Amino acid sequence: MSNDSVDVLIIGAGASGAAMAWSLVDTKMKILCLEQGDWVNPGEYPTNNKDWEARSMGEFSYSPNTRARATDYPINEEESPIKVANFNGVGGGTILYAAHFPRFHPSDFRVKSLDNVADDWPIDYATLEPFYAENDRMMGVAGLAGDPAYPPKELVMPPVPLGKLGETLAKGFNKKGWHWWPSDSAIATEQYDGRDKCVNLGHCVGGCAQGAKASTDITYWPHAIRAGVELKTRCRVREITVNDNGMASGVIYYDADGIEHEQKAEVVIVACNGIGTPRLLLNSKSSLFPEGIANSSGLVGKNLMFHPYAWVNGVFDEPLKGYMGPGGCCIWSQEFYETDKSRDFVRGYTMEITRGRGAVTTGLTGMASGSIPWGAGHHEAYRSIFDKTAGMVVICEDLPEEHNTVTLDPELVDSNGIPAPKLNYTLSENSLRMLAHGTARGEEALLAAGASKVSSDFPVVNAGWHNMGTARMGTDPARSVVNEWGRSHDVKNLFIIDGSIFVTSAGVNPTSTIQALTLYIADCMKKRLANLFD
Amino acid sequence: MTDVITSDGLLSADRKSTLFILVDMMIPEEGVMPSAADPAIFAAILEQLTVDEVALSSLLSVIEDLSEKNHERSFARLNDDERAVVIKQFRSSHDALAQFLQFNTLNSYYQDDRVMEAIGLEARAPYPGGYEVAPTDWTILEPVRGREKIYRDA
Repeated sequence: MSNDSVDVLIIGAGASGAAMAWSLVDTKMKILCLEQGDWVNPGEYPTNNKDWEARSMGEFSYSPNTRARATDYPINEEESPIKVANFNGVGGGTILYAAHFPRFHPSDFRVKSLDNVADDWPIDYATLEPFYAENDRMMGVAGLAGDPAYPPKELVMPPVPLGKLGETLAKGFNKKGWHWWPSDSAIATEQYDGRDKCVNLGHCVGGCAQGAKASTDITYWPHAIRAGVELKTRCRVREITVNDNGMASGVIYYDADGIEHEQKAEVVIVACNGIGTPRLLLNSKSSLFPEGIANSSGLVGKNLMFHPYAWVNGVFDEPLKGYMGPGGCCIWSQEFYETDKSRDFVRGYTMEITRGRGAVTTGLTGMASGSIPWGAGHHEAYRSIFDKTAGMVVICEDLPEEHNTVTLDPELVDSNGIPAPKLNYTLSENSLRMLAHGTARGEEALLAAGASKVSSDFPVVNAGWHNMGTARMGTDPARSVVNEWGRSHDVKNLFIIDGSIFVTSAGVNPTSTIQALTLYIADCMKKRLANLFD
Repeated sequence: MTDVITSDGLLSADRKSTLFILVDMMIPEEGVMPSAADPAIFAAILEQLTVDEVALSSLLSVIEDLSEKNHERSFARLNDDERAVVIKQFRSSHDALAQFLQFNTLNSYYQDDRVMEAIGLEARAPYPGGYEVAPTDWTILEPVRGREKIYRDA
């Protein structure tokens, strides 16, 4: 079945696809977005129910292999100590993200020049700064100006409240004399652009029932659709097609009933992030591109970066009311963010304070660790931990290494028979040293805050939220997949706009940068409309 | 037959008794805290566990096998010390089944209204009520505000 041709076809309706669709509407081009998942009904989010914790571990699990919805694709992650976290649907990963919204730092774009590792980006912080600001306005970011860890920036709304837990840990950082700051959070702390204000449900990573968290189904998409963008759900793209001139001609996709369609387009934009994008490119084989489209460099699927995470917890004597407030957004510390040559690793990390665990999760993790027994001591042990545990995650910069890859699994396929991605990933020595340093500093901070007992572990297995680097950008076609404004070196009407084009990962959550980069690429495209394919 | 889940999905009386003893040993009554074998909580646990009849049947078979092997009696006829030995062996040798039991027991137990209130929670879903968090006094940031910039120019 063949559909009418469109000017611009965007594959994926997540963080970057939504921002691109919105930005391009003023060109008056005919824009279509194909999304393999559904719209999500906020009434189905876990916090609508008393059993919200169980629902978050099942149908709203951030592991696609656990969630296993018809709209998900499987991932072979047996050869990776870190497992992928994502969501497939309108909003993509922003449906289940914590909405922690830090920007990259100026130094993150210059790691080769400053620290002699990896490569510099072909763009810099100053280039992205206006697009960070524009994206902050569109997503609605809460925070506090004046953070000494960043160049000056304006925040759209007041910061999220710290609560007793945040204030307790902030005092610990103050005792240490270390940096901390309220997190930039893509969470409405007051009514904003049709969204209601946060009511501190505590569990943002299962989806926000209040609609205060900035997932793109309720930020960019309503604006883009009102302006004329067409968004089709349950459309799973199998491959990007090419014509005899080596230009992308459109895609082949399956609808919800498994019926194959052909969609023609003048411009194809891939927005499937660091796992889905290389999977699609590698599945798009043709006589012109036998190793997959846009892959003359051989780098599609290589240089996979996660953010290796550690968790650090402390047990306090007093209740901290940690189940209240935006679960993943409280305060951060970037005391150890920039490279310090006296340490045994390069680059650095952020410590991100998280709020408390739920009642069921407290019991499960307590039994798993042995701190909550079966039998007579159960209640006393439970009382000593529940609502008295505070902690943080240490999010480390992961440097690109070509042996960390996304390839096509020779056997595993999705429900449409499309080959699934396979990961091969190992933690570097640099990451391991950084994780060890971070957990030790995290424990120091918690003890300074008054914790009577601390514990930590790494890597956090189910923490592959951030998938980057597998179609990197650069000016050299032999060393990169897309150019400095997101266009494929090989196919001049094919663009990539998600985390896969990151050159390095920085030590912060990437969504803010993914979207700023998207708006920057959209701006570059609009400025070149007359000669976009030259 | 006493060792199967019946055709209508209900546990046989013997097996229900074994499960009752297991969850009571996991979370016993203490003060205002009910046992996990409290009738309302046990009914909720049973409803959850029977969603996966294969796993439930497996875990109860393992318990009975360990009981017969160690003590030549059914689990229900053991004393508390003997049961504790069986449970210890079960947890160390059948991690997935132990987690299955623990997950469903804890999930039901800590959603019971009496239990939620006893541990300081309101017995309701988080939404739509949400929670009130006091505004922050940002003078707590003064030591940090006084610092020079800590990012590198590039």
